[in-house]
Amino acid sequence: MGTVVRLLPSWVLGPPRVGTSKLLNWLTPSYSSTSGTEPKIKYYLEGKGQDPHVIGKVLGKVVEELRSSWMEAADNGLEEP
Amino acid sequence: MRGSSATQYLQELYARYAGPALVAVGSCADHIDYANRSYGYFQTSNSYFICADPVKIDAIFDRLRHFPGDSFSPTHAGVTYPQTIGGLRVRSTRDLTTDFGYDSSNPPTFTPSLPLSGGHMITFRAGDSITDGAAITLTIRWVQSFVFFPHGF
Repeated sequence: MGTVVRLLPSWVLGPPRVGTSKLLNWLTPSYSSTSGTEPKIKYYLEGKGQDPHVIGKVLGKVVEELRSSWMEAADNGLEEP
Repeated sequence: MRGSSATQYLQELYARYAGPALVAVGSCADHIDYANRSYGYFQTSNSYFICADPVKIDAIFDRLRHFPGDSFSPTHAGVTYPQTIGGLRVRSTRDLTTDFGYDSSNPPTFTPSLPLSGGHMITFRAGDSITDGAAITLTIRWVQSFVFFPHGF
């Protein structure tokens, strides 16, 4: 039920081995696009305004500048979902 | 958590305004339209950049704290957060990272009222909903990997 900080680095347990041990598979950290457990830089962006179309455009510009200028995503090899 | 409570509020709204007995006050959609006209429209855009290299992460956040060509933050000499994003002027900056605690909206100490933690986390507020069409809040946060243990472990 609880969320527990990972106790062992991934190299101790190695990659998940499907079909060998269910317990090991449970305990082995695995990074997938849906697990929410991969190391990442998250951003939470909220916009408020009087016209929903204008807000959408502004949010798009903000994300683009965040990606290209603030994070330098291409130069830093950052992947996006 | 936000999602759970938002769902509950939406259901309460629906229960109150969708019933036939209260048709006189308008539909659920009418009520949301009314609320949006009164308080403004809200939209979110949340996502992430995958980066497993802590050195690179520190460099990215270090660059945000020493952003080229931008102004000075009063609490730490030499710290210069970005002053614009997406054509909007940044109105306030709050850094809740250990050793960098800073809230531009809390002079003269500039001490944040929220606790600091080891992972990088910076919040920027920018723009004005009247003159720019939107006021935005952008939080950027480094999320370390963890494993979610299922029930019983």
